[in-house]
Amino acid sequence: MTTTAVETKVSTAQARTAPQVQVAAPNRREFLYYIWGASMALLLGEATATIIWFSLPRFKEGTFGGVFSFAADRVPSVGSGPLNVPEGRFWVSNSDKGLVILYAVCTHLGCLPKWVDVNFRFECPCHGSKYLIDGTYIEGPAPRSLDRFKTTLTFTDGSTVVQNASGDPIDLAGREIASVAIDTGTRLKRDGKV
Amino acid sequence: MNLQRMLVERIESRILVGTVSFLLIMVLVGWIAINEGGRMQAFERQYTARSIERGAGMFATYCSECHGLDGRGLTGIAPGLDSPFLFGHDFLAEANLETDTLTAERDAAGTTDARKAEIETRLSELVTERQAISTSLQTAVDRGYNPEEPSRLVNLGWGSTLYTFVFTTLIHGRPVSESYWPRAMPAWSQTAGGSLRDDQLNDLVTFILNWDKGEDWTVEDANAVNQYPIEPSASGAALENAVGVDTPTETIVAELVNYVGDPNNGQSLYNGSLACAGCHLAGIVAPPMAGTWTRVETERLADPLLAGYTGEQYLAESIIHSAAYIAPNYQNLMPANFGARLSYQDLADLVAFLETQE
Amino acid sequence: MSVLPFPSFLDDVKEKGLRRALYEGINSVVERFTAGMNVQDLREALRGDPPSRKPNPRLQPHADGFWLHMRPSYFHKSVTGLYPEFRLGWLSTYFVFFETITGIFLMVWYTPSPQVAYANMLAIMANVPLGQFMRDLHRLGAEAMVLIVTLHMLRTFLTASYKKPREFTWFSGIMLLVFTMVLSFSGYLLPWDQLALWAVTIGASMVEAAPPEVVGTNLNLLLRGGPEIGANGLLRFYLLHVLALPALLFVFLGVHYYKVVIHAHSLPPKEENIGEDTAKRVPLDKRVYFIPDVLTSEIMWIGVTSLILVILVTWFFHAPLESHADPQVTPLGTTAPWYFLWVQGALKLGDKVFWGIIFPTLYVVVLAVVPYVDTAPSRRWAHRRFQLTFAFGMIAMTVILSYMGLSEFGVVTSADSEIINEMVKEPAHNHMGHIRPVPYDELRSGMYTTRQFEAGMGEEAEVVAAFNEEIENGEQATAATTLVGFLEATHHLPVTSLNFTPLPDDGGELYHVLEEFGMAIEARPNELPNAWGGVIITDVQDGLKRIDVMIVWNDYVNENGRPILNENGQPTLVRDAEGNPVWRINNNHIFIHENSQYFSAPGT
Repeated sequence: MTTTAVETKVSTAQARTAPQVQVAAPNRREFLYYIWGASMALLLGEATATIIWFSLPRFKEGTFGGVFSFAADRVPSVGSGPLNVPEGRFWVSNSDKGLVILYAVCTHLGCLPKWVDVNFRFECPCHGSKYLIDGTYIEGPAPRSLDRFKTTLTFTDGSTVVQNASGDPIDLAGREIASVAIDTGTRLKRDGKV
Repeated sequence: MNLQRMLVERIESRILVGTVSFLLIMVLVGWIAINEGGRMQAFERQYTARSIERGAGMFATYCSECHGLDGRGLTGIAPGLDSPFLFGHDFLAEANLETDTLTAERDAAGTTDARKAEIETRLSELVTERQAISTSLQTAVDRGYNPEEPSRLVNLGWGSTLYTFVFTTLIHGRPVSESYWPRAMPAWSQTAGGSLRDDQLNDLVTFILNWDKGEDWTVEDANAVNQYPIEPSASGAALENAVGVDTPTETIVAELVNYVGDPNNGQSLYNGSLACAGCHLAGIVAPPMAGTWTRVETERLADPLLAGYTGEQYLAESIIHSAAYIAPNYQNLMPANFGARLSYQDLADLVAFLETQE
Repeated sequence: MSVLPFPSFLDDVKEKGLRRALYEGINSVVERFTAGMNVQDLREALRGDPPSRKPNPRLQPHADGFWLHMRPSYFHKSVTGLYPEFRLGWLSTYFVFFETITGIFLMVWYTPSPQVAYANMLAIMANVPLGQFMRDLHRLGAEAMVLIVTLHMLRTFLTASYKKPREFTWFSGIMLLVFTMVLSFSGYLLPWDQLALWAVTIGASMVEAAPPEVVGTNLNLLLRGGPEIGANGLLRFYLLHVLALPALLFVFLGVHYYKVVIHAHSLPPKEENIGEDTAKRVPLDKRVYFIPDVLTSEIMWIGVTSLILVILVTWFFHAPLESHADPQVTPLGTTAPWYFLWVQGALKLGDKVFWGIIFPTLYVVVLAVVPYVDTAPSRRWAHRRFQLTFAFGMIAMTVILSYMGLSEFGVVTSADSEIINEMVKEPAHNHMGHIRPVPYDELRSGMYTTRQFEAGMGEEAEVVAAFNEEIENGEQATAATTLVGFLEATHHLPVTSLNFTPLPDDGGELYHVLEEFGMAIEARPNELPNAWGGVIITDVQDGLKRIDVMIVWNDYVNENGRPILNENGQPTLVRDAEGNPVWRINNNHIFIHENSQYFSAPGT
């Protein structure tokens, strides 16, 4: 304490005479304070991380945001309309391009397009965007084709196929589906109107 | 500026403005308070009306396929809701009441013989009147109505209101009945795995209950209902001379030769108690009734799977063992219990009726 | 000798007589309550007389009392008029408390759960005396607060009151503005109606755009409690609205007001020399004492503002309540709240990350750093040409962006959807479909077509008959068959054939609505070639009718929904294998109950 007082006096005196700044190297106590401060910052960081983890919702299988799996008999046949699974906010669409799981929300402003069987396409009731059965953009103000949910297919021969990152339909290539797993937490966005 | 001087500089003006503001607020709040009762009523009435509108929209989308667009039910599929039965209207109530009153008066001590005779005449008149009403309800009776037991809730022994009855039914749906109802009513509430929220169910119930005519239900209304609720047990009693669910087709065919079918009786079975027409109607869930025989002769018998069948044999098998052959593009949704519900005569009548459908 | 073992009021009575003792007793009680002013002092203040004793007793409550210690004991005469402050800061503070109080009352009837929140709203509207009044006040107060706080900021900028030493006051004020907006916005969701759900969905989806993607996605999940707004989201917004944000707001309000008091209100620029700040040095003759002058005017402003609010909610403003929130159906024309329209407008300019996140953040940052950048000493308008230009530029940009944020601007809707929606849409933002306000008695059941307006006077019957013939056997036959099937299968309307009847021109409102419908179709010939509209009214129940509105048109070659015109300026029709034009159909239906009162009831 005495040293500090003396140093202060000295530095004030110096400041009065010479305006240049002179700071002594941290002494032990000051250094310990810094260490303490750093540990406090670390603790705060950890606390923030735990609170974020605490508040982040988790998704069980079969709830929207989690993985949906279902057996092959729910997959519609090629040529018939897509199957709506409202609890997972998606459509199961099977066409000659293959199987694709479409996120049910329009890419324009978030409405839910309806499947119109007469015109055999999705039509958004809000602003009239239209999509093909595999989600490909046809017309309207939407900026891109419908988004997809990442899908993993298991075939009866035991092989599995994981959908690629651009969300292309999975070509079944004549294989028979055993089960479908849809990760509604992973949305694949198309690169435009393709 | 004058406003500046008036409002800000002179302190008396400030006090005055403040006082006037407070008084006016009091007057306005009082004015609002006085009108609150009417406002709340108006809101309620308007909201109920809009609730009915939304309910109507959902009824058309979700319910009309089974209960009919007019809410009068579809034969063999689902009962009518625009129906005096649901709302418990008793067409005989007036006559019954008078009968009871007069009987009590007749049996009471001190009634003069002249009065008794008068009462007897009136009572016999009332019997005729009740019969007349029952006769006028014949169409409804054919569709499952019983004028003596006119209330759905009473028949079920339901302990609560009609609102909760409809609401609860909507929440959980209804199972298929082996003997009568071929289609299950799905659970509609999200809590029971369905797709509708409780407020939507509320809208639906409000719409359904809006069919209530109170005292103004007419015999025509009752007769216009296509289907009344039928207790599964009522028509599910085992027939003594039933064909049998497990009887092989060859045995059935061999036995069937001994019966002569009556197409008219077959038709009434088809449209009535068996409710075949409920599904075999538009060709959506099952092949349509129209052209059955032509289709059997030209299409079905041409199928190699059915090589060696006769038309009668095919029809008899399709009715009793519906799973034996599934018509292309359809699923097997047909109840498998007709063997227990049909006698050979009934079966022969049905086949005879279907043979007329060219 | 005292009657009691300690000095008491009775001793005073004995000594001075009842009257005097009573007076002195009251006097001392009053002095305790006011922390320094006795009855005499109070009456002098009320009479407008100068204080008769020294030290000035009117300063005592500021020194000794809790509530007044945070208020200055006197103001400079130049800041107590309308100009330069317009009382905006005071009114902002008033709204904080106004919203807190009305909000607490509403909490009595509210549960933050999707199952019951909307039912609570209905109960507040239908079964709570003054429930609507309270809700209207809270909602109007919230919107007014955003407005007043914004004006407060604008005023501070225009008089350059943010300059030294008030830089941090300005900064904390900007934070308060942000909190006010977010508070107001978080309250939007609580009624759990369509307006709430979708305005907040649009607002919250901006959070999702925050770069990089992992941050945006998780921030979005944190805020909504799920991939979309549901029970968790409602609860989180509720907690933000009633707990977290008010707590933050009160902390910053404390900081802001502390700064206001220690630096005093800045004087009008022309009263000070350039670079000086004399607000704290108020000459004796310029002092306006808080008691009673400033206090009087503050209470007067509370009275006037409350009166304006009450007048508005009595006749002109009712908090909107649309139908129950439905995550499955987005209402057409969904917009963010008006004070976020500028962000929505900016979003239409392009990239979501830049215009949705970076641009608004930049906007706030630019505002926040104004006093640290603009350090020129002069507060005179003549010396602040650049700053004032900048301010008006910002205002103009915000207004233009807000206009662009309106749903009417720039959102492309296909013509058929738009016209049908114009006819049937649910009441929202004080608009509703044209058909809804038609008086119930005038909704005569039948089938009507816009073709009848192609006829001259008195020829409607022939034209409609010819059209029926066209539908039966002519070129419209395919379209009509498809339409009937579509109506029955998709829209569950039990029609088997079309048979239109002409509406007489004394058909009242319905006639005019049909005419409008026809004109709307005719106005878009390129997008709806060879189109005709139909309206089918059917009875459903007693007092309930169903109205189907449909448009039938020829399909055409298009790009992004806009027709590609040929050299004649005509759309190129899509033709099928036989070379016939392909017909397209759009239909929507609504139900109207006689008690719904989309129209004003007779006599009101």
